[in-house]
Amino acid sequence: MRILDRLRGLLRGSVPDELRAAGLSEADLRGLDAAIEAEAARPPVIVLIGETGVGKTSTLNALFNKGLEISHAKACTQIETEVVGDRGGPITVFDMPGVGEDVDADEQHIETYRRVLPKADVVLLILKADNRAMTHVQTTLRRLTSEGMLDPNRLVVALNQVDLLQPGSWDPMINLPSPEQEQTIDARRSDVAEKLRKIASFPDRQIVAYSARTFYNVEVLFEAMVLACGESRAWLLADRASYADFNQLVDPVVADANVECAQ
Amino acid sequence: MSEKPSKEQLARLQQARLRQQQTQARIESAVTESLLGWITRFIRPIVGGAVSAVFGWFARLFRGS
Repeated sequence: MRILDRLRGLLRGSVPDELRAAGLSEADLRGLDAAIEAEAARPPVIVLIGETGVGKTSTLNALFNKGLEISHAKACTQIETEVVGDRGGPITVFDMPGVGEDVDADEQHIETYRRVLPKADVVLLILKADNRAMTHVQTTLRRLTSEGMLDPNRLVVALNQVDLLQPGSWDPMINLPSPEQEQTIDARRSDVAEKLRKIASFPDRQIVAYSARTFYNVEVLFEAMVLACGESRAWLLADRASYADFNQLVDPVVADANVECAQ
Repeated sequence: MSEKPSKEQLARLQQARLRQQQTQARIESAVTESLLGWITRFIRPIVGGAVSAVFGWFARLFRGS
């Protein structure tokens, strides 16, 4: 995904004959280059919504930092942070509290949402996959969408920690869920999707079950973010991303899938 | 010494890797289309009717063909 680098190289060189024949001059290419740099100077804005402990930091690391501690990021405000991924470009992250713990605090949080959500390229609503108390989530989502604070097309519902779901168990050798656990994950995702679709209409692909700890389905989460980001900014988000690969945590004995098997 | 994986484990790992590759390919495609769309919006006022030729040139560049 380094097409932006290829493009920059082209735009700073001479005009290829085919483009010149179409009417583009070197000044036009330089203009396009400058426009791309201007767009790139506005970092992708990601808003994370979720209670403490749902895995917001580990999710961010799995998507952009590949293991850097979030404390290395530059804090702009209490909730706004500028993160520099291992590709070097900045990403602006708003770390938003979840709601549902206290009525007064909720109202303050809603006001913060009202101020921040319109800036978002992508809104990640992160939930623990085993969280079955969806009423607060439904209520919040209804309010955010009905009052125009949140465009459902920008939303990705991220069900984290699927490696801890039961029944079933994680298979550490191949770093994947067992078949039984995979069924549990599918059922849990379907249940959440059904409950949230009562509130807002958004594509099925925008509900993703993943594990930031084991890197399971991190690429699926990133795909959902790219699609939610919208065509005009997806390329910029992708330029900053460097998502983790579950294969990194596969037991070395099976990392090469051609290894001799037990039976 | 680590135990050996079963055939079933290897098959599941291979399936997961295939799904991962398919996802990565879709991401690449979405990103390419995004950048092509952005470039097209920029150059359309400059090249007018020749926009499809320019689009095609950039598309070949990004898609590596």
